[in-house]
Amino acid sequence: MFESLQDRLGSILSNLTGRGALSEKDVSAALREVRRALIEADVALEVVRGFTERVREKAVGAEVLRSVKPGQMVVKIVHDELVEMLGSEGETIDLNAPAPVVIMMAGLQGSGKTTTTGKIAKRLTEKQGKKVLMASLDTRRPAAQEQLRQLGEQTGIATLPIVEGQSPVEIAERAVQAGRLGGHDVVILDTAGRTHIDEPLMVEMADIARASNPHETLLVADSLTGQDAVNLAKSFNERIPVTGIVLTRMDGDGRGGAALSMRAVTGKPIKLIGTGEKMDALEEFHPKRIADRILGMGDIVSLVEKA
Amino acid sequence: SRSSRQLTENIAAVFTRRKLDEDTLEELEDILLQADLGVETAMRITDTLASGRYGKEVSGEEVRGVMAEEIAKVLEPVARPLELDLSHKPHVVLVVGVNGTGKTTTIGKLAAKLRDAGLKVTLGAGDTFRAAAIEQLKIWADRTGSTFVGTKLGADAAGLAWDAFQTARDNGSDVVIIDTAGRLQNKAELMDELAKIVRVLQKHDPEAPHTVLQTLDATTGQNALNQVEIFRNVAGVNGLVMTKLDGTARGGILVAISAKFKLPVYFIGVGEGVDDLEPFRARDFANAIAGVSA
Ligand SMILES: Nc1nc2c(ncn2[C@@H]2O[C@H](COP(=O)(O)OP(=O)(O)OP(=O)(O)O)[C@@H](O)[C@H]2O)c(=O)[nH]1
Ligand SMILES: Nc1nc2c(ncn2[C@@H]2O[C@H](COP(=O)(O)OP(=O)(O)OP(=O)(O)O)[C@@H](O)[C@H]2O)c(=O)[nH]1
Ligand SMILES: [Mg+2]
Ligand SMILES: [Mg+2]
Repeated sequence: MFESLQDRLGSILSNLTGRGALSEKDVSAALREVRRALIEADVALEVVRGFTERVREKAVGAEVLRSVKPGQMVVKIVHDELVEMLGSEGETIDLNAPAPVVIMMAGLQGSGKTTTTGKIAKRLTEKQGKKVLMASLDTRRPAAQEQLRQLGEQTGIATLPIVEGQSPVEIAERAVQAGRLGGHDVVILDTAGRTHIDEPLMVEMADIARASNPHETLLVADSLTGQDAVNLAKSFNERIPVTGIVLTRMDGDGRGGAALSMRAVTGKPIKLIGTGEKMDALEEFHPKRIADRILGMGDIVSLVEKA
Repeated sequence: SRSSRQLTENIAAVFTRRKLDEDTLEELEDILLQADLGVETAMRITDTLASGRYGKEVSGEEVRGVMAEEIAKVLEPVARPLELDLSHKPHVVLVVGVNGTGKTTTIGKLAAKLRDAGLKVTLGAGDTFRAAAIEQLKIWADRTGSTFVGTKLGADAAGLAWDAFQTARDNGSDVVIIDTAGRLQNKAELMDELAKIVRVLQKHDPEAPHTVLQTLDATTGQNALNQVEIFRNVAGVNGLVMTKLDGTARGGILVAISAKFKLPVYFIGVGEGVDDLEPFRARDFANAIAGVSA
């Protein structure tokens, strides 16, 4: 659907011969295309602005290797800056706290919280031998608690028994208590979806965090999100102590620019990505892969790296 | 809403009284980009805006008005009420879309509207994949006084669609609405399954499904364009609903989608409650994007 940045830059920069240093003029022309590519990849505009400025600073005057074209050189600089902004690899769920370690999931409606709760529980159980308890605090959406119960059944992971009439805060407290008494290493709290301008629900979410004192508070967001990514990331991050981001639906064919936006406005690491609906479709985050995807690039970076 | 207020402030800051030049146009384009219109559509609108006004002094209000006008021009032809042909007994509505975009909830809201209009409705729980999707629709059926047809998790979705039609015909329903599992449009196998549901329904009635509704999440960015393209090709989508407009996302991609596919947009979702489904009004939608207060 989209032209790759490489193709674009190719067409505007093919006339330039790659010798010496990148000029202000070369860079500006290239950055117009970079800006466009980022916006088409759904990177939030305010993040695009800061990004292109940093690239400009790095690119103007940069020595162009003899074997590459200036456009390719710009792509390489853009790519490296993107990877740096997306953060380092290997920051995953941290369980370094007294048991039961509480993990709280939060996010907009339908972003993938419940599914991701099941996936994380399964991963911690199978890969790290943890005893996990899952609890649904979603008393609002029809059959939300039943959904988590069924996921528990499918994966063989304990879920907190459903008690009608309890408030989300009460369920959170009961879950932590049950986790303690039951000797669970980890308690995962799946919360109801909420829009960040729904004040009563944002207050409720903060109350849940206060009552359960999560060690990890994960913001679950759809990788297909557009410009709203900054608003939602800012708002959730302001109200609860977000420790990391999970990006879902990375198995889609979106460019995933929301990753950059959310990381940029919160400074919080992307800890995991969801890559399918099944319970094992959860992967570690690799900044380089996402950077390639945002830019829609082939192998230009490795080409420049080899040069 | 907060973001349309923000937008209004943005534009007011750009345009107290100022010449319409390159810089100003670029700032306006940015405002459209921030509403997810996408680069092409945003540029087309600012180009139209500039023609005849370039270099002239313009006020913020004027620009807002013209911007809303241009957007409304694209949206007005697609803002159409959902029409059911009740000579079909039943009229079949198939609801499709990407995961979590609001299919099941929209079905609940729509069922309530149809019931209020005095129609008899049957709901078919065609999402046999996601945990508790069947129970979720069952609750909506109970809430709205609709007949419910469900099956077991993991059962064949096309088979369920067939059964739902049959039940609806036998019980004299005016409308049968069939839910489907969410799926990403780039998954060929899952899209084939959707095509199969359509084929099975056509065995009952060659014209079925009469309405194929696709839900789009307003927070989705440029990918929504691709979603519509592929679901339309595979499942014959002939109407859209944009959900979650009660948040801060403006759903501007709908402008690009409307320009390209010209599919009717029947409703917008503005919350999780049974009444939170409103007719799509092109003017209001355009005003919200351009920051014009109604
Ligand atoms: N393809 C794909 N689908 C996903 C992924 N994660 C979640 N889903 C699907 O997205 C839909 C919504 O997921 P849920 O886990 O119910 O989302 P939620 O945030 O709990 O939703 P609410 O509780 O209603 O706010 C379901 O159809 C899931 O199967 C993913 O990584 N890839
Ligand atoms: N704020 C808001 N939430 C909505 C709206 N429509 C649906 N939702 C919520 O979004 C979430 C997903 O809605 P569903 O109806 O389950 O979506 P779906 O497309 O059926 O999801 P899958 O079947 O998992 O693919 C739920 O939490 C709904 O309550 C809306 O217009 N506004
Ligand atoms: Mg949930
Ligand atoms: Mg559903």
